[in-house]
Amino acid sequence: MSSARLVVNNLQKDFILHTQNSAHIPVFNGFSLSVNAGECAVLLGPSGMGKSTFLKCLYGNYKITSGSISLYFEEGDIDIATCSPEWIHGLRRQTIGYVSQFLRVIPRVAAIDLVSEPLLIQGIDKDTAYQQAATLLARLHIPEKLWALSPTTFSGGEQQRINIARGFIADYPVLLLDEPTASLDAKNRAVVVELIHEAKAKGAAIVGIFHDEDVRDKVADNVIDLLEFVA
Amino acid sequence: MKMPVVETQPLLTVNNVQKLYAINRGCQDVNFSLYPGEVLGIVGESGSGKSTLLNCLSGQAAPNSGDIIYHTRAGEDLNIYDINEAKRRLLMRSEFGIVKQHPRDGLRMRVSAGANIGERLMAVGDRHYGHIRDVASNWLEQVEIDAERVDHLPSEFSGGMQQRLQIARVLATHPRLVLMDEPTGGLDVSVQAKILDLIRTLVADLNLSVIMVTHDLAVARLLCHRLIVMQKSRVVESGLTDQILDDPQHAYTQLLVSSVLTP
Ligand SMILES: Nc1ncnc2c1ncn2[C@@H]1O[C@H](COP(=O)(O)OP(=O)(O)O)[C@@H](O)[C@H]1O
Ligand SMILES: Nc1ncnc2c1ncn2[C@@H]1O[C@H](COP(=O)(O)OP(=O)(O)O)[C@@H](O)[C@H]1O
Ligand SMILES: [Mg+2]
Ligand SMILES: [Mg+2]
Repeated sequence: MSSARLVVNNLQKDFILHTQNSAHIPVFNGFSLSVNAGECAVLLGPSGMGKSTFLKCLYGNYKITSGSISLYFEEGDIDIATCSPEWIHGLRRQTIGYVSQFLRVIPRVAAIDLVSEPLLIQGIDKDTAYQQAATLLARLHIPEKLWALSPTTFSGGEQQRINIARGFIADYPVLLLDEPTASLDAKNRAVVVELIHEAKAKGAAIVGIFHDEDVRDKVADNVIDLLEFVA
Repeated sequence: MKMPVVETQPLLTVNNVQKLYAINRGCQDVNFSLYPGEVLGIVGESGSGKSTLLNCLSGQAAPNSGDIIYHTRAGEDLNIYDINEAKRRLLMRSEFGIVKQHPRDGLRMRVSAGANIGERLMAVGDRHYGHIRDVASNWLEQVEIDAERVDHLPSEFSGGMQQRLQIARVLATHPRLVLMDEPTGGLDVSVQAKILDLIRTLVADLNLSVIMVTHDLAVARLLCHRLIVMQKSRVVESGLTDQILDDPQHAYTQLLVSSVLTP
């Protein structure tokens, strides 16, 4: 398992804020990274350095100023920097899982529906999807009485675990994890570490941000300091 | 790893469409493709040309120039303004669904709820009364209107119920492309929420392709996969909904996004 799945080459991201006197905010520049199947690369750097911005570029959520992000498939490669919205959409459905730092809840949608959604979108039947969602929610210690409720009113840690369940349910070959353990207790942190190990064993290429040194040591194959690439 | 399977045949292709009422009033230089199962939002301030564009797309107003090409169920590519009026009407009836902002513009107010749905079914060839009535009742339930009200007039319904009835009427004939202009525009926020939930669920369950005009970025965030941003008759930015809202590139989009509290 040493084939590169994800190769970032010379990535640059700037923000230009037109409504604020066209303020120019360079975030990073010349950032390169390669992640193999079954590997977890961990990004380091103080707050505000651009770690989340980097993951958002990988997910197609933020536009890329220059450089490329290549995904290598059996059929060929795709550059996220230049791919059309339909393709980003397809990649999000089948290829890239993302656990964002904060859960963006759709109001009025039950936790179990949110968690099973990625499987339903892949065309998996409802019973199977619900069963897998239930298993994952139980593993992450979300009490069953919350499953049918919208996470809008959940605690920060509970919301984060819903987000984690959504990211891990579909066995994505590429996984982006933005501080998934930040507001979890030791018991749930251990579950996340287990989930990461299982994903790696299935060949996932993972890019993660972890504040917790202990978690980082347990999952990282490669540690990259973003500070070197600050623009 | 395996490449995702992505639809490559657009359902609708829009090339250089222009319809202007005056300089920069209307729409111009519009280009995009809509793929099956996609929900495309057209956003922008009032007067930016959203409705003008939607009316061109829905066969209601011929553009001054440009092409709108629709890929039919039968696999034909039709330029919707190159075909004759009768054929266009048939196409609209059998493959398009148009949801108006004001339910009274999309419903027949003098016939019952059931007849509003039944009429559309008959228009596409259903002639069996018992079947039509069953389908109508079924649709009423899908949009959460008590089937016992099948014989009531729409005027006896609240605004939110009327809008749900209009949605049932439109979807009953299984359109492949649904066009909506501010479908929750005039409604109270709580009523709006119920309709948005309904649209979200139906779109996913029926795998509908939708083009929706809205000036509400929260609605766009909730329902749309992809957005087109219009300003003064032109498309200034387009892309994935979350990219447009979280990392807008154009000055006008940045202004729009920064003007709302939680888009
Ligand atoms: N959508 C955005 N628009 C403008 N600036 C942004 C946006 N997102 C992030 N930034 C800026 O980019 C920098 C990096 O932020 P972020 O990626 O969140 O850092 P980290 O995750 O390392 O704490 C910050 O200065 C932040 O203000
Ligand atoms: N039938 C018409 N006759 C003349 N001007 C029109 C007509 N329809 C729209 N316009 C003008 O075109 C511009 C765009 O209108 P419209 O498409 O309704 O915008 P939106 O839906 O974005 O609010 C406006 O300036 C409007 O006054
Ligand atoms: Mg961050
Ligand atoms: Mg309008």
